[in-house]
Amino acid sequence: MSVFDDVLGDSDAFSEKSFGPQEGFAGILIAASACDGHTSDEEVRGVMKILGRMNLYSRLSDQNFGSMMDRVLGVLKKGGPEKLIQKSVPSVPPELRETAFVNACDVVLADGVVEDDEKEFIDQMMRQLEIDQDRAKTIIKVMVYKNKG
Amino acid sequence: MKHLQLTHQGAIFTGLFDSLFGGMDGGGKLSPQEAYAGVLMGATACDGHFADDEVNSLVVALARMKLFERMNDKQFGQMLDKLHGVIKKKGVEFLIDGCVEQLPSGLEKTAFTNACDIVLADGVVEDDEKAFIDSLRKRLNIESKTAKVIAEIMVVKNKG
Repeated sequence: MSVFDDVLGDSDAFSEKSFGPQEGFAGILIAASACDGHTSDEEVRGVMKILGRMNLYSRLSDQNFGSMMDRVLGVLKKGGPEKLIQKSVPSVPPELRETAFVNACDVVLADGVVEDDEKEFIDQMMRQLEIDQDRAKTIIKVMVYKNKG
Repeated sequence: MKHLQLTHQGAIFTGLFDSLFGGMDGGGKLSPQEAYAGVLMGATACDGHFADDEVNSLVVALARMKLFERMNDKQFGQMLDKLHGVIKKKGVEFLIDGCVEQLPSGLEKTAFTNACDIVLADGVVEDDEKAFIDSLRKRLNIESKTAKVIAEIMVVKNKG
């Protein structure tokens, strides 16, 4: 037993908490930006712009938004995109699953190149967010239009 | 200068048209960059004002494109100022007429998709915006079935 285990006992006050809807949605998009092996500051800013317009985040103060992003980025740093996806998917509200998928595709396609690990990521997202395959194809087709040029 | 035929102004205003678009790319024609940016600027302005969320989406939509990668911040800003100037003096319709004519081919659906995205970005679609999107679809010769699919996915994108 570590000192902390002795002190904290069975209390879960300092244990890792599960994600809420805000972290879940943000986590999907951060994972999308990280799935090619790196996340640039620019990509994180891009994700923050997407989130910034959403009502889901409108009640968060700048400080709360910042600490929410810290939690998400912390999971990415410690566990990688896999762990982040695993934590995020169950906490995305069902009515926002498609929205998360559309925006994840947008993030992946934004640089005009789709690498193999990005393709794999989109397939994985489609399955985990339970998006029908034909529907996913339509979404990807439109997001390819959006990100041309 | 085929775009003149599309305007409601008639040939009598040729000189004015030239002076408004003049200096952008010589000969009163818009450059491909200006034409593309102008369509999205029209989407931003078509409800009569520039909402912050919409301007944000406009800049994000343009900045990622290879089309604009050779422009520095100053040139980019000047381009947006000029397009803004045309809207202020002559209105959105006038700008769009000039832009559609000079839009690089192959970017029609891209322009339409991003215009839908911008209009939806603030979470409200006003009547002016609906009319703008309908008119843009026709001018860009996008089939209404394709346009519906695009608009529907953009609605999903901007939910929540």
